[in-house]
Amino acid sequence: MKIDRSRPPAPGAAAPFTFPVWERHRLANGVQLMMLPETRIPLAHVEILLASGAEADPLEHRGLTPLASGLLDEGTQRHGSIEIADTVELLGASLFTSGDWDGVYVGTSSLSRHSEELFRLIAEIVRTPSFPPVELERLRRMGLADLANRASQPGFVAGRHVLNMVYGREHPYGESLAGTAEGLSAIERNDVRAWHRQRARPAETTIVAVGDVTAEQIGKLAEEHFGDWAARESHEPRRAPAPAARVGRRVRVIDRPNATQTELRVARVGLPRDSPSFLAARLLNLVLGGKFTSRLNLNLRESRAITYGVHSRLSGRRGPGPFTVSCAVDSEAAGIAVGEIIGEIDRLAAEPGPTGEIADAKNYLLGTLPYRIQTLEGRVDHLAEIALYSLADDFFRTLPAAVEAVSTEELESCAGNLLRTDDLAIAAVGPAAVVQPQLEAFGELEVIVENGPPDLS
Amino acid sequence: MTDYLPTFPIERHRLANGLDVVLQPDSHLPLVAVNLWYHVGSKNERPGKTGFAHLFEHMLFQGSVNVGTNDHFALLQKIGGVANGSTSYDRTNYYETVPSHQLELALWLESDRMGFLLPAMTQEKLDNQREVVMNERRQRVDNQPYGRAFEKLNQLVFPADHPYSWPVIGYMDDIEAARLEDVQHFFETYYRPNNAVLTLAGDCRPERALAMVEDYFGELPGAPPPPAVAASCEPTSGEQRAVLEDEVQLARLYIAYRIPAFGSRGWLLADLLASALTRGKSSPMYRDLVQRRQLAQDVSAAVLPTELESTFIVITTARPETSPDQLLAAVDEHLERAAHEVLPSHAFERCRNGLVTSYIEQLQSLDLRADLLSQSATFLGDPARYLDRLAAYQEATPREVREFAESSIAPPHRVVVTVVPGEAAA
Repeated sequence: MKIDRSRPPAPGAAAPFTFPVWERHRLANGVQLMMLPETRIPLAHVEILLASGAEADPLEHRGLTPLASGLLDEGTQRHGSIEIADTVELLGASLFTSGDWDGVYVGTSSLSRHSEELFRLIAEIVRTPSFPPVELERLRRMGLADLANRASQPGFVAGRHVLNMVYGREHPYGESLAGTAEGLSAIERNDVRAWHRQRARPAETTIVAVGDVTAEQIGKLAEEHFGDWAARESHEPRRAPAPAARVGRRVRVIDRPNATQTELRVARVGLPRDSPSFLAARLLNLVLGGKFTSRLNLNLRESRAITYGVHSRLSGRRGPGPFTVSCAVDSEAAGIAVGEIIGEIDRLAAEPGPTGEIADAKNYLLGTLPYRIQTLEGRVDHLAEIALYSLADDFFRTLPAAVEAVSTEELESCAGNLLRTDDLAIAAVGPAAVVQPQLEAFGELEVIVENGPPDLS
Repeated sequence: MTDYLPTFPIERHRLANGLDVVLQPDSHLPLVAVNLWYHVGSKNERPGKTGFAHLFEHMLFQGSVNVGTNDHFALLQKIGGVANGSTSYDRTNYYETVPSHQLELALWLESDRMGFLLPAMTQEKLDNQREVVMNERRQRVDNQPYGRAFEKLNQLVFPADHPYSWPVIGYMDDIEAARLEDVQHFFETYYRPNNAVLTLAGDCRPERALAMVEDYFGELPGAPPPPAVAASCEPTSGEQRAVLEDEVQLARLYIAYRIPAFGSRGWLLADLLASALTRGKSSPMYRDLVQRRQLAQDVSAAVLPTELESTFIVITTARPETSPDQLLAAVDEHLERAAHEVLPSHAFERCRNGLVTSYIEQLQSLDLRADLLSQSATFLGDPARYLDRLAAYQEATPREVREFAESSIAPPHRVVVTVVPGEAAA
């Protein structure tokens, strides 16, 4: 029988999917455990997360959380950097320590037969890091060199300028997470130790364990290695303040006379991850620029061919992270690109739903959930999201109903707040002689010339 | 040996038109990965027509007789599918992971562009994607710090007529000169069922899935096998060096050696050697260059999974106070030691354990697993060989790795490209 190719085939019966069931426990001192056993593949992934990140770093120490997080596995009171790396790698395992705006993460992934030994090690790293002065100096120097080198990447430069324009230098979000040369240079070992005292606290610690380990095993390990961890006096963790309101559109052109393209960032303040409007905002973002078939990409890439790709991103942080449109465009078309970006935001703001695109966005958001939890790493990330942003424990199990329930009124109200173009910050890294005349019409414009060694202050 | 190794069943079928079909049922999630490899890449191009395989990949997302211009991604994304394609030296792949009840949609889309592309091609679509690809090249190569280093490296590693000597994305002039008749010729020569492997991994019933594949692909005509690519594997003799100025703050070295093809014993030993030297903080090069002497910001070594032959590449970024020569001398100490001293058994064990674990970690994703199956079917002639590497890691000995290093990774037969701070070439 010949098949009919003239139209897309009808789907079969959908197989049921719900986010896997996981378990939560709490130790007496406040440490939380989130466990999702999965015995199919003999791997385990354990992550300890501390729920306070770079948003709480002093402004004069920008870059503290990434630097200090990187130092955690460079020595403990019992083991040196070399011993730690040798132990982990002989087991074939990976150990990672990192920090972002909202938290600090210490984790391992390995064959599950090694998870007990690795658990002991990461507990030690979280509780008793020694921050050896020689390692601090080494990582600081590497951080400084890395910052200097990233100042050559047009995308990085555009990104940090636009954050600076949106939040100002007095707000933690007003710089890249990597920090500044001044901040990194000013950090002393005592600052790192104080950082550890403030961040590593039982009440703000969550252990996420997924894979081929039982809840019983993890419960026992947690009790053994964290049970005697004394709760500290209660304190309110420092959070990013509300960003100052900005008025008017501003444009900054960072001159790169030889650049063969212009890196553009168009941004404003978005929403906190735990905002009740966040789901509506994600749907609007998917329509605007969050996927390949979003309006922006169909316009600037598929229709105008002035870029390899454009996307918009809603950065879900504890505070209101940036809402950013990013692309690298033909320098001759920078003005068209900015005009179209503003036009697409305005158009969606005027008519945020109900359209078929919102239904498609809902299906995309829900349909890709199984894809995103194929790996243990993906599962850890989802549980960590619940922990960091205090989402309901059944957040992902009830997500289908919540997504379906997002109404036109909610979309309209969210669009009114999020999709504004009167206070956009526009940063362009490219040849000013070509770009400046095209961008003058969009707002108050300044041109910045970065000469010689990059100014990363 | 690997008692912990997960096993997944594999079925293989060949349709009458030559399409190689690989099935790996695994129903732990209601997802199926559809992965289609065409055995054509930039090596099938010729000088003056570079970048065409990649440009052609873009054209395959521009619609076919029954699929509208922007519908491929639209139809997949609206059902929660994740899709893309990529081009390399020897192959071009197209893939989508979809909810399993939408498998038929994915097969309809892939078969329509395999069978019915040309009538939907227009000059306008070509012009448009040519501009997109030129912007892709600017974004990834020309306007990116260190972006031209690989291009220079391959130009020196391989003779000018060798098909790995030009970049996959192609030269700007060639991309600009691509014509509609090139699209037609390329399609008819290479995009035939007998030059492709279709892998389905995930939630599917093999008989049902195979019947569906037969329905959608069975009637597409096969074609004569595409012309083989001839390449001289004459080793380059001596050491060649090039220095590129770029808008960077830190110098970076790229050191490349020609080694045997993917799938050979030599390639595997090179893979082990690359890991033994640079993988993880306990590796000797990281520990010495980055941690102890602090000459380098980073160091890594890798081998490419290429078919005619391969390259072993060391990349290392100098600290601001380190000169490129000083860093190269330090790298050479390690390469020479690898050629003369057998790795200590614990160092070898570390590297092997790390490789095995990360390979198993990759198998968690249906899309990565499907891609590995297609790769094995295409390059090694048997999808089941996708686990060969794990067994080989277990069998190999430190002595063999040393012998390999001595014969293949010792100066003077190599290329060194250094990117230094300065002005970017126009």
